Amino acid sequence: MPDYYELLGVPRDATPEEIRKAYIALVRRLHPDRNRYPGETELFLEVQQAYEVLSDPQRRAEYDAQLPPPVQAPSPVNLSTYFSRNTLLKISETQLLYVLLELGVTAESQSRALLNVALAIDRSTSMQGEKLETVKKAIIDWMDALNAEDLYSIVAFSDRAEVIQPSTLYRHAQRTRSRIYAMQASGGTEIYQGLRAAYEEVLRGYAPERLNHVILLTDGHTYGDEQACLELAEEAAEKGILISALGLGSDWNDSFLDRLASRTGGSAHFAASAEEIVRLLNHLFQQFRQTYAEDTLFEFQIPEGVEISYIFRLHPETLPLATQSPLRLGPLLSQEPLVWLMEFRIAPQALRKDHLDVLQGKVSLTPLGSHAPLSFPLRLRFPVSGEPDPSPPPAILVKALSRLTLYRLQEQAQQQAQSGNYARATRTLHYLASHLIGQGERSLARTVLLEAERLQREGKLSEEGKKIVKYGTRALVTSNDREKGREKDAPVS
Amino acid sequence: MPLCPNCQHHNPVGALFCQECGLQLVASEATVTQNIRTDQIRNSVAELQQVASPQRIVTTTWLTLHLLDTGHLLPLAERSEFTLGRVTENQPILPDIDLTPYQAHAHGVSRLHALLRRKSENVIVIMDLGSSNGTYLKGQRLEPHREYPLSHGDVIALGKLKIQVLFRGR
Repeated sequence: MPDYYELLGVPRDATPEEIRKAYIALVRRLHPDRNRYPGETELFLEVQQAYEVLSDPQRRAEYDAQLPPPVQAPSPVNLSTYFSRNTLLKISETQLLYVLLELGVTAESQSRALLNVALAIDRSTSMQGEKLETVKKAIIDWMDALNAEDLYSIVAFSDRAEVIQPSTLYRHAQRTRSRIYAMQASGGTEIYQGLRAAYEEVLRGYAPERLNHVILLTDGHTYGDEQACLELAEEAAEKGILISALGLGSDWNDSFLDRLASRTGGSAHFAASAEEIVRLLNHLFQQFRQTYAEDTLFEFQIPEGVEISYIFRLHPETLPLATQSPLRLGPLLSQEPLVWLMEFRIAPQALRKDHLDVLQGKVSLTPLGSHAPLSFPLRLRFPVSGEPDPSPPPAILVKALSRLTLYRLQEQAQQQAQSGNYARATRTLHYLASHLIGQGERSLARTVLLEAERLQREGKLSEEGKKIVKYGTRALVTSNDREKGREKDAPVS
Repeated sequence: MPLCPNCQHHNPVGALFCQECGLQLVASEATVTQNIRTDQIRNSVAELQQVASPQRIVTTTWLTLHLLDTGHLLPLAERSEFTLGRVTENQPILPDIDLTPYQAHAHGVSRLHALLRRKSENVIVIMDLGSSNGTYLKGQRLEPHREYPLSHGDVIALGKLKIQVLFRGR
């Protein structure tokens, strides 16, 4: 008996919609009027037959019943889940539950992904002078790291965009270098212009087996076109193009760049100095090369009475994510796990039965260069009990949350300061500083305390201090346990 | 419901960290810093990671000291009695737990300050060892060389060094 699922290239738990889509795509290619190779007409007929069976729920069920169990190949990717406790408590108030999910590649993967990258560089007036010169140098240095088969393009923008280097292969790079050197600063900042032009360049070179990525480099606020940028990010995400952002200096809009990046699964970074751009670009490109799958998607449903207060990607790049399904988790690297943490608020009315499915859904991804998507169904079911769960939460979760707590304190302080509650904001900053001292992060703690003083003196935080603290605490979330943990266990005397 | 011992904030059930001040509210599974003295910290951590499985640590730990100022957790295991203090040079009797890394001197911790003893499964007592700045339990200064029973979550202070005691296997 032929395996109809394999024939259509869908998993055995595919939805009718997925089956229909796969069928239509195949039929378009294999139709006797259009196919080109011998044997494809026969294949077309088999696909027809497969669809007839699988699209009819009753015939599909009969077919499934006699289908031999699938050959269990070891999955190249593993999904692990960790819970802050194993039961929910039957109480009359809202309770919290934490879930940490970790996706890791177990298979050896040697492929080094080819790139299709566009850099969108802010050349507005504020970049004038040394800043722009350093950026130019950084980009030219970075170009040495490209492979001969990498596609890349460079766009410069202010209030309009100019394609300095249309999408091309590396071998023509000499001319690009002179064009980059010739770049001059002038005009305002309209990110949408630059983003759009860069996006179109990536789109022209788009190929599913490449890493299709726009990198935005800016030092300023954009005015009035935030919404257009976010819509563009949505469009890019649907086409499988990621956007990552590098903010330079202290005046750019961090929450906007975070949102822009998170819509597509990309990442957002802060470069305090122009020198750091080189380091960040290299870091990003190292990750690109290691990418195993780019389209990691998390689809989920939660029942009434359950609310997700936040979802935070912890690794490989820390970023607050949206709390709606479908959620793009960003690239899965072959050497490092993709880790994200969720906080659930569970209202008493959700606990009517003796168990609760806090979340149902699936995580899916397509390894680069493969056409077979991998899918991990997920159901987080918890028994509801009158007694609290005595077992302590897993260490990995507590550790992750302890680092995230610092970031959240920082966020809280900023909100309190913004709403004019200086006394509370100052107190929160002091809490944050003492935690940072406890972890041996003295210079960051000092910045926090300086900001607390400034808040009392001037009634606001400094833009620069805000970013140092935000990205400093964010970097702590990702920091490597094995390397840093040892330093920090050393006595703080 | 869980009250933060540091800032008195009422946190929702299930919170692992105080939402107001960020204090860790629960002990985690394998906390692998079973440090008795400063110079042994690294070795013991490395050893524990190699030999002991998380479960074993959990079952042998009977009390965890939670240093409120720094957020550090020190699990106590194996023995049923520990002296707390700080190590200085030329000191004849050394405390079992050296609190020097947690600014013990600045907080007025004596060299041999207090003693924690496990009398039975759920009875743990503290005794001041005649310290200069005193040992406090719930704000009350303890009479030296007398045993006082502790309960889970109590905050003790050695001089000004505040430590929350977290029981295991309640």
